[in-house]
Amino acid sequence: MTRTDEELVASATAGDLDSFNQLVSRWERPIYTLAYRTLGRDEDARDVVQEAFLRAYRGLRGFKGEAKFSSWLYRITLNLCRDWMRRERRAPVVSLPEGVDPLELADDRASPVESVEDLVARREMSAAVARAMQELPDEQRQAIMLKEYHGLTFQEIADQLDCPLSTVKTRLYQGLSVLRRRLERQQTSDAAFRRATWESSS
Amino acid sequence: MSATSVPGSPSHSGERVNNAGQGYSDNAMCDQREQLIGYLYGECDRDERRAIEAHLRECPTCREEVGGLGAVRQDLLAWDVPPYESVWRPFVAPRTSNPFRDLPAWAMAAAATLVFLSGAGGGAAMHLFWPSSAAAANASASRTPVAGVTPADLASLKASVLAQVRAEMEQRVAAVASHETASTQPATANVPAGAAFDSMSARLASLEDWQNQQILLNWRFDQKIGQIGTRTSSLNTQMAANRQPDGLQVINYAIEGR
Repeated sequence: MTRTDEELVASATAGDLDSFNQLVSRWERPIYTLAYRTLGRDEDARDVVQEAFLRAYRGLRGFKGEAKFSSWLYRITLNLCRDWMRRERRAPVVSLPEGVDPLELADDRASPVESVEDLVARREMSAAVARAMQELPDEQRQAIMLKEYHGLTFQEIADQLDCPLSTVKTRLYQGLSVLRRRLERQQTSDAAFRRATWESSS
Repeated sequence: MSATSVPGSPSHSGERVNNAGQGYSDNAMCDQREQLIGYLYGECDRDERRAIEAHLRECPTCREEVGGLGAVRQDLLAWDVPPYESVWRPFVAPRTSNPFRDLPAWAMAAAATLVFLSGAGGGAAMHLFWPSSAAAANASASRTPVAGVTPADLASLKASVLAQVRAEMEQRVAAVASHETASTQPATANVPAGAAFDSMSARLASLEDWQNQQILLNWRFDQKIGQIGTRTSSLNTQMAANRQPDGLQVINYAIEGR
């Protein structure tokens, strides 16, 4: 039977290292996703994942279980990302592909039937979303990430970001509105670029 | 997607269709962005949802707004994250010196039963094969007179044994406490048992912390070794590819491809 996070935390606090390893394997991927989308660099995100779990291990005794374990981990991760950006004195960077490598195309299709055009469009959209997100103010970006990619409730986000629930909704609304404008512009310019490329090659 | 309009803006308010009878005024509904966000994410109660849906049927601007924000949410799904392999090297518990710790309970119970049976068997054999020695033992035991022992004798014996045990315990506690505080204060002959216990608990806790730190240090060391190994392996692969004519072609092709 699968043990809950709370049960694993209790065992780990009592000294059972295997329980902590189970918690790591359960939450490693979501934490990496959050760190990657915050920092934009794979290797930095991996470092943050390691450090986040080490901090969690050291702080297990201080974790009182008032919040969910995952919420506590998210908070540690966001703090680490913030520290990282402050220490490096640079803004988050998005790893954008400079071009499309035909060798990679063969291996990276979402489904066997996805056409090259669809794959290129999907990659362009991914890059456009990443760019638009990184241009948002930190507080709007964090609210959207926690909501869209980690499924936290408004109240959980408010707890994470130490702000009132109404502020979370306002940040989400403002962030989504800005993203909407930017992505519309991006899609328009991409379509125009593709059309021009097609016309010049034919 | 059409151009974004913001509920509550003057132009938006001017376009609204009157929706009296729903319990919400148009201005209130269009100006409350929070309600639209709650509706968008399904985090509003039933009454709120009904009111918003009624409003959306009447107000094309808010309807378009909710549709546009929903489309953005779809677009956000496109944000890929690179494939991820675990970077975590699981903690491994240090080996303990107790070899019986990992034995299952049934094995321990079986071993205990075996020991008991062998003892009982040995005793029975003594009675069967050396009855004289058993009789002698009984005889020596019966030499002690028991008829004259009174409850008062037993009570005084019990009290003296208790006093002796208590004295020994206090002596030991005092010895531990004086060892703990030897560097900071002179040892006292009579340290309260509670203080000694606290001191030992604190010492145990610090030892435990130290052990955890050692585990973390070992783990970090393993991580670094692992990273160096990965990089070395990658460099070796590249060097091998450079030595091979085919590998060179692959690299050139990759560079030209970019």
